[in-house]
Amino acid sequence: MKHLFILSVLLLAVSCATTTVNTESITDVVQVVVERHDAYVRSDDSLSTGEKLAFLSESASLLALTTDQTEIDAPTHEALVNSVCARHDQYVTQDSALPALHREVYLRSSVLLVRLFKEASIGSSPSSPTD
Amino acid sequence: MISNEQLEGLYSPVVAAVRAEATKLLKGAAADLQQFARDITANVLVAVQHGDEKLRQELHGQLEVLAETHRLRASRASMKVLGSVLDSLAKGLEIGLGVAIKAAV
Repeated sequence: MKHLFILSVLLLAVSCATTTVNTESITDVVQVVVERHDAYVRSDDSLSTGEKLAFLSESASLLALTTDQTEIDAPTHEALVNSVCARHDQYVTQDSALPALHREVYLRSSVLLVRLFKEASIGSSPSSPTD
Repeated sequence: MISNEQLEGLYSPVVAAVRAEATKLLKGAAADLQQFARDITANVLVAVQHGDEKLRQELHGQLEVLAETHRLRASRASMKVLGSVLDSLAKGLEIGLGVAIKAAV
């Protein structure tokens, strides 16, 4: 019974670790993605002032997450990451002035962030019978 | 005119350092993460050749994100092992209780 209790505690501890993203590992990439996202949004004349403010506020929230905390709960913030990264990718893809290497690297940055949060969020749901 | 090979030779210490770091960070990682690491390392060589420090830093950041993904996967794998051990123990306890109840009745 005692062993069962210890294992339950261990399971709970490891379970928490699988849904938490260490911010130190993602700060640099989040920062460059947000910088690029913001530069594109500011220079996008098709957006209204309200839309620009909303998009910039969203990216600022993402940046604040990585600078104010040492760990982020992935399931809670996955939608925010996806939203900023999707907009970033849209701008990068449409930017015909970008050299191929830069486009490849820029898009990979957001792909890696989205994947990381997706994988961490999967850890939060109960495993399926096929796992 | 310096050839590509000579350029690679000039920058090889930097690229070798990045490769070594990638290998260390992603030791035992899954194939998809290893492929990302190979692509990143290849891009680092070009970034260094072009003197693009900002791009090189972004690539370094990508390696760190990969390492974090690897850490999460490893944690999840440990959780599955612990979960199955817990299940087995719970089943054992259930059987033990059943036998005890039968014996008591």
